[in-house]
Amino acid sequence: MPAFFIKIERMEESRLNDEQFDSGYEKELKIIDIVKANNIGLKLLIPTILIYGLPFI
Amino acid sequence: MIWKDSISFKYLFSAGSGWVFLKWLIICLAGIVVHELVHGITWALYAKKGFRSIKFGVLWKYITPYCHCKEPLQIRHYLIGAITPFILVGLLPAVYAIITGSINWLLFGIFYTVGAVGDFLIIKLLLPEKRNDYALDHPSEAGCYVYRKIPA
Repeated sequence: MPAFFIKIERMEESRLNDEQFDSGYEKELKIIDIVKANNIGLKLLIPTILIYGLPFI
Repeated sequence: MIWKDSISFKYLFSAGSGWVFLKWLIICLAGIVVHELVHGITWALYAKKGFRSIKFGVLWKYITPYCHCKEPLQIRHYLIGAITPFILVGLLPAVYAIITGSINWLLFGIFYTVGAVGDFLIIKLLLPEKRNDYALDHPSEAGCYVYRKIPA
């Protein structure tokens, strides 16, 4: 699907979602960086192995 | 060492045939599917439209599978749905591995604990929020919109 149509679809989805709330709500976007998350995952690999592997030692 | 017989290099490499690698690849891929399914099932329990509000897909840009809930959930429910795959697919297999001494389940638990890092980061973002406010999963990014009730 061309990017243009994807963008419109997402805008419509976003608008539809907004309609589920009345004006009594404030909205904030909270997203994470997937690349950063993957890097943190790699950094946590050794500590996780050590913690889970501790009973084996 | 409690389970020294099962964690030796001899054990790991003696089973190093192509079939074992393929079996591990299938199990890992299945685990990814199960991880996302657990997100979906948990969120569907709290969503008004149930499973009709749940969508599964892959962010090909990052080669990352995802589960998306199309309707807003209370933050407490969103958090439960975010943490459940770590508990069921990461922590429990690791605990089972420690009890039984299974190196295979230990590796599985480690893989899916590390695989839940994205969920942990989202949980960290949402922890300061009130549990009665709402989180609406973002349709294309890893995260959500938080809807906070403005005090009257």
